[in-house]
Amino acid sequence: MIKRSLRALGGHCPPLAAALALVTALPAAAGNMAPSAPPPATSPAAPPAQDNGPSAARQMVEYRQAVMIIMRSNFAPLAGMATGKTAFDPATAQLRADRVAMLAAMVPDGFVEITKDEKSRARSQIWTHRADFDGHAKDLVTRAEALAKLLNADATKPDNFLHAVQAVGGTCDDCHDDFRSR
Amino acid sequence: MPSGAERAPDRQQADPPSDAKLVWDLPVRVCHWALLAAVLGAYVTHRLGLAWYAVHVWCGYVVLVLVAARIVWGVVGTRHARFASFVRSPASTWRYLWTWRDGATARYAGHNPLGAYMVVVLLLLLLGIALSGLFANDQIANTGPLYGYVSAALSDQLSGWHQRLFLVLEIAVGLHVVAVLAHRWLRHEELIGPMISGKKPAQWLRPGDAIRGSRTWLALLIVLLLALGLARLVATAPPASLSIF
Repeated sequence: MIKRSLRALGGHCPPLAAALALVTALPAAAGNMAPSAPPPATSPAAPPAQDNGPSAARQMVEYRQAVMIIMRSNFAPLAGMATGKTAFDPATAQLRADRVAMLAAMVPDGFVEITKDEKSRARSQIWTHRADFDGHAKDLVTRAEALAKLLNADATKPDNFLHAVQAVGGTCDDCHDDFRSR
Repeated sequence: MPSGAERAPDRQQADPPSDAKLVWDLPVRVCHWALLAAVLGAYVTHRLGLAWYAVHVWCGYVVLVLVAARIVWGVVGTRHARFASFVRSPASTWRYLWTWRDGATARYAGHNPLGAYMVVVLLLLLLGIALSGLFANDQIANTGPLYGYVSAALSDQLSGWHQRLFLVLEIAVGLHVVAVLAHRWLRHEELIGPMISGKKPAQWLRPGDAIRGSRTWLALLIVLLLALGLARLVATAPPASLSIF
């Protein structure tokens, strides 16, 4: 399709047509060059020459992103149950809340100084306002544990289930507002 | 006394005089105050938390339909509602700005040149915020009604725009409020009353500036069609959520 469009373009101007013909013939010409020549250095299948895998810092970033994804995957169903979008099931709610509480404790693990220069949505404010960041992380653990405890104590939907879920969700939002880039 | 009776007497600050004429049709007025309510509602429900998310989305629907309707109305509505009647060239707006403090400049039947640009900016910002919100997600539990149409990465980007544009909106609304108050206190030109009653004092108007009616039925039809279109769009969106279990 690209060749047809280029030909249509070149149809109006012979010098342009010649240039375009040359350009579109290049890939074919390259393919015809000595087949026994070594593969080009930029073959997509070969890994970059210097790297032996992601750096420790990159792995830390991927770890903490994974923690966030697993935590929200377990939190979202709780929000659905709390707001009435899905039916409340005590066993599921308890399972999800326990997982969220466990993961909440894992949040600070990946936010270490070596990741400061890694590309991610973590804002530099984390490092300059570490106390505030740690405060949010602590709030999350406290509220997630409170939610889990609330569900463990009651087989039916607890009265302040929505309030407890909203408290956890609010902590996520508060920390994101300050420390996650838009 | 400046020519053209532009410097109006202080009695203007009270109820509009009996010779006030209709310039703002009902759709424009309802749109203005309903948008204010919807935007406030969207902001408040955002702050209240995830239990209020459904209301937040409804506020967004109202904004979307009203802004789209206002844009259409800006083409087919009554005289002073039309963009062609109040959006003026940057050059003449600049001239207006420089002579603004001097009350001898004309009062406008519809939006003044600066107000015109504010209208356009506000409408575009609201459109951007509401449209991006359709596809947004809050990272933890809630997704916009059209989330199923986009990739997670695109939704994240649009969510960023949704938040950033709101910050710009706050500045624009702040400027708008300050400007309206400045018109009242520095130019003795009350603008809030006319946006409620629709009428401006006759001495501000030229012959033929007044409008005869609101053509409300047409506005209602436009709103209805847009609302139905949005409802269909939302109802046919692929189901998707952040909840994988």
